Amino acid sequence: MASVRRTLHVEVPIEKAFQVFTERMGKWWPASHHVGGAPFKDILIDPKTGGRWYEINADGAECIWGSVLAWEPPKKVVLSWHLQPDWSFSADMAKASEVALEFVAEGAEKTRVEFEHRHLERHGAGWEKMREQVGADGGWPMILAEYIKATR
Amino acid sequence: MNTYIESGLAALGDPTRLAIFHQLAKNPRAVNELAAGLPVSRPAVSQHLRVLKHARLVRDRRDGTRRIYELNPQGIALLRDHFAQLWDQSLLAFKKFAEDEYKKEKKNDTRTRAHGKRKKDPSRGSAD
Repeated sequence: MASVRRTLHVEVPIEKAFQVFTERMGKWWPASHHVGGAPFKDILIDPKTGGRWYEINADGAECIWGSVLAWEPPKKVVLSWHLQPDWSFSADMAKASEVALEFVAEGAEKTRVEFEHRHLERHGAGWEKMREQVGADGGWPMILAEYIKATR
Repeated sequence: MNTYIESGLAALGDPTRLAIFHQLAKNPRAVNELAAGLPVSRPAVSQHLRVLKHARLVRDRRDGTRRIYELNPQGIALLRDHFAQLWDQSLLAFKKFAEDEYKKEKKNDTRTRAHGKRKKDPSRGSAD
């Protein structure tokens, strides 16, 4: 299974960590990484299982990133990530990877965040091919894979 | 995004170059072999290969009298790393924002307590 895993320690209470991740994404997400054709105004997550994860573009248009697969504040959130060859996002679960976060309180003001972007292989066979090609063990060349898949 | 990555993505943004890239991902090939499988002329294929080479996605080597084109593992690895960095950048930005905001909130709380009653934060809008 192809995935990117990270562990980080944040010096805030667990509730704060969860709230900033899920409610303030538009404030901290790097401006250079957006999926629409224009920079985003905000990035929002509907706070419930089945809710949407989406970006609001400069022109006010909504661009879906994925949906909420698990919503267990302040401990866990799992989001689906949908990337299509034309850079748009669709709701097709067969092509969706998963972004999972677990928040663990290690103190009153210390939270460990276990991050995983998993099932990257669902974004296409091209991904695995590319992985063999470069001997990678967990990179994130999805967009490249989608480009390759688009030619089939 | 640095210029190198941008040129790599731009290079793959063209359908013919993408098709060439896909062909080379399967097998290294010479220009005429690539042209045979594509609805474009040989000079056009050469032109596309120059762009891919410039973006370091493709490299060439001599095989007797033939010039063989293949994917450039170094370029592909750099491109791959860029995507792995997406989350490194994002998660670091998340951590910094959360910690900064929490510090600000704590400072405001302390100030409020020192004054003995709730004091409106002047930096906030009237909707608060």
